[in-house]
Amino acid sequence: MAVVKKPDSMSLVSLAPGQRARVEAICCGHGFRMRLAALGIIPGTLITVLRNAGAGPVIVEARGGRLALGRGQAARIEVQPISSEGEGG
Amino acid sequence: MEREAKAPPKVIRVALAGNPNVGKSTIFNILTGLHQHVGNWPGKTVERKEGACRLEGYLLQCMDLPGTYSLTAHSAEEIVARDYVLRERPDVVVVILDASNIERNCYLLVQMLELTDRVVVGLNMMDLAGVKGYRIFPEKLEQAVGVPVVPMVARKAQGCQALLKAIIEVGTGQRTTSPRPIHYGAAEPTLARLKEMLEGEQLEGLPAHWIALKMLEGDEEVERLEERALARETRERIHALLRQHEHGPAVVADARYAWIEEVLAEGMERPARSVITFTDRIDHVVTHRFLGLPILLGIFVCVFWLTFKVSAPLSHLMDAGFARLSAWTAGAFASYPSWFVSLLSDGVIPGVGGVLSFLPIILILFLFLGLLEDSGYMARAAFVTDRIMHAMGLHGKAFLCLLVAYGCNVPGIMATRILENERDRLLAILINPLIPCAARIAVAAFFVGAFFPSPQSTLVMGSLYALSLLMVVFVGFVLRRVVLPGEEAPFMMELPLYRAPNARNLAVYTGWRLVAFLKKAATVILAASVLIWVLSSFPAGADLPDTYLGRLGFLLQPVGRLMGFDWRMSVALLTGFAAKETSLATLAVLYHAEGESLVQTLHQSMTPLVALVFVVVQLLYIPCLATVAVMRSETNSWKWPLVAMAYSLLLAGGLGLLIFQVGRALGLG
Repeated sequence: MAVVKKPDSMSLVSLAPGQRARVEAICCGHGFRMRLAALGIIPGTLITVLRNAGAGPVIVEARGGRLALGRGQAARIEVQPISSEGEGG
Repeated sequence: MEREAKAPPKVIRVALAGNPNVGKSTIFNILTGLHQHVGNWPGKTVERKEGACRLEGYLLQCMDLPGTYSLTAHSAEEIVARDYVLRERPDVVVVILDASNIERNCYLLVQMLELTDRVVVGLNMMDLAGVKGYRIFPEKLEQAVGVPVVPMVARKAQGCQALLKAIIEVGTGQRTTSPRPIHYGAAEPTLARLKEMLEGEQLEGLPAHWIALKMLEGDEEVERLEERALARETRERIHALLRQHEHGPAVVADARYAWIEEVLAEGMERPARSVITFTDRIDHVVTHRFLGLPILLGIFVCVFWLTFKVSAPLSHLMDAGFARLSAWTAGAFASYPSWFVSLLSDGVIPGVGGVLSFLPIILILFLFLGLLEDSGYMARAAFVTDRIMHAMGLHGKAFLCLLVAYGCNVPGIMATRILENERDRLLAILINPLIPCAARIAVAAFFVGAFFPSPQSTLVMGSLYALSLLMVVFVGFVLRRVVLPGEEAPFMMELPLYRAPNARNLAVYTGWRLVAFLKKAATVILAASVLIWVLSSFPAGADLPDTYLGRLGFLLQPVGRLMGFDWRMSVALLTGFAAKETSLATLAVLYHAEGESLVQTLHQSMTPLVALVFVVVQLLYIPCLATVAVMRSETNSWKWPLVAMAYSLLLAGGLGLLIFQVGRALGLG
């Protein structure tokens, strides 16, 4: 799938803990995308970052479950942050 | 219907599927009790668990499929699970879902419904779902999905009868299921076209609809099947069609989650804002960027300290028991030939007894590790250690395999099966023997206790652990760059909710490991003790230095001397290859001493520096026989066990030499 970057989309690793976002695109690798899908993350999924210490793995919540993702993997997920008011975004 | 229930006993073949950590094993254990057969799937290092259960004249043959998140072709587990359902066609597939994580869990359910209609849903962990504020209505969910849905709390054995009833109803055909259809949206026309092309083709008995779906998903196994089953021309037409639909996998995943959202909208209510749970509060602390690691260290120091504290008196008790048994045997069999009495009382009983006295350590350690695993903390440990594990090119999951190795390297190496990537697995297997197992730690503890007074001894033991950890990182770093270069495998791991550990799970977890250890004691170690006895007793009538064992020791002397060892210590290391704990027994035999007096004898024959060098060398020098055997079976080649033996010998020899020579230069020895 071609990754079309929206102007305000960013990498998941640049989100702060507590921030919500919508997954825009997942970069690189059919297998990686399928595995993420099995764990509940596909383009369009709403996620909340629970842990992101600026280095090392991150923890995100998606579809009511929580996942630890290596930093390298998290960096390949493009997201669009949503403010807590505009959840419909 | 009534009449059918009274029909003669009938076999119902049941497959149990589910994500990891959903209580599938708990349910399997409840259903089958101890009537289980555990083995491997042919040609794969994936555990195969089979069991049976009798009920109302039915015999349920249960197959516990490996825990998976999906049914793609990306891991051996997933292929095993889906091939079993596709090719063995069980009468019922029970999909166990974690109600507290129902949305994500349903992804496997959808994929199972793509394979078969005969599905029963076991909706487990209903209590945890309540904690999260979920209100789930099983009847409505059942309506929405179109297959029986049984609410359960398996840890409290709730819902099992209802599950059995549903299994029998669906398995006998008394109850027909009609799963809610899945609409693949934009992909439907393509799917229809693919099905047309597949019409009339021999697809090894697999449903054309499923094959079409998997083609759209770009499944490698199905591509292989295409090459086997289809004519080149058909394949080219299919590929031309698929090239126009590169978004296939995304559309399919989207459709599945859309199905799930519809079903859940009908069958449950969720709070608008997620409830702050007990799990959130604990995670806030244990995954903290600064506190996480100290807490992890604290927990494991406690576990190891408690293990040795509790097991030491038990081990001593067993030791004393075997010493008595040995003495009693010598008396009771006095009328038998003396070589036979000696074989029993000097060879078999002390050898096997010495090993069995490790039973308490292993039992208690695995009980604690099982406790951490079952409560949900292990996944957090993987998260916390991920950064450190990166230093050796592994990720957090590998930490778990290394941790188990502190009990015994054999289960540690078997635990590497949780790593999806082959290179990661090899690396984790290769560095595994560097982790000092309970047996080596016991030998080390004996020496350190004998040569260093109390506060000092703790420091020495601590340094030994630190040294081994340093070696793990060092060797991991080197192997990753030199022997197994390549891209790092992705780290993706679910963090389950915390829950109270379950006694039955713990008993089963610990039980299997004890059985594995006892098997080792009964076979390898028994044989090794007999061999050592033979080597140290023949030629008949010779003094120890003149026996085969003694001669071997002298042969090794040129190397041993460089590290300050006398021939007895070299022999002890040699016999330690059979099983590390044997070194201690060998020293006892060679120094003609038992228990406390061995301490005195050792004091007279070596300096603390030499003792320390011996401990370091025995900690690292070579994987034991059982470990080598399991490395061979888990890697399917002799190459990797040989690599492990070679590098560990070099490492141990080098370090031993360094410590001895530096120590002596400093005037310590």
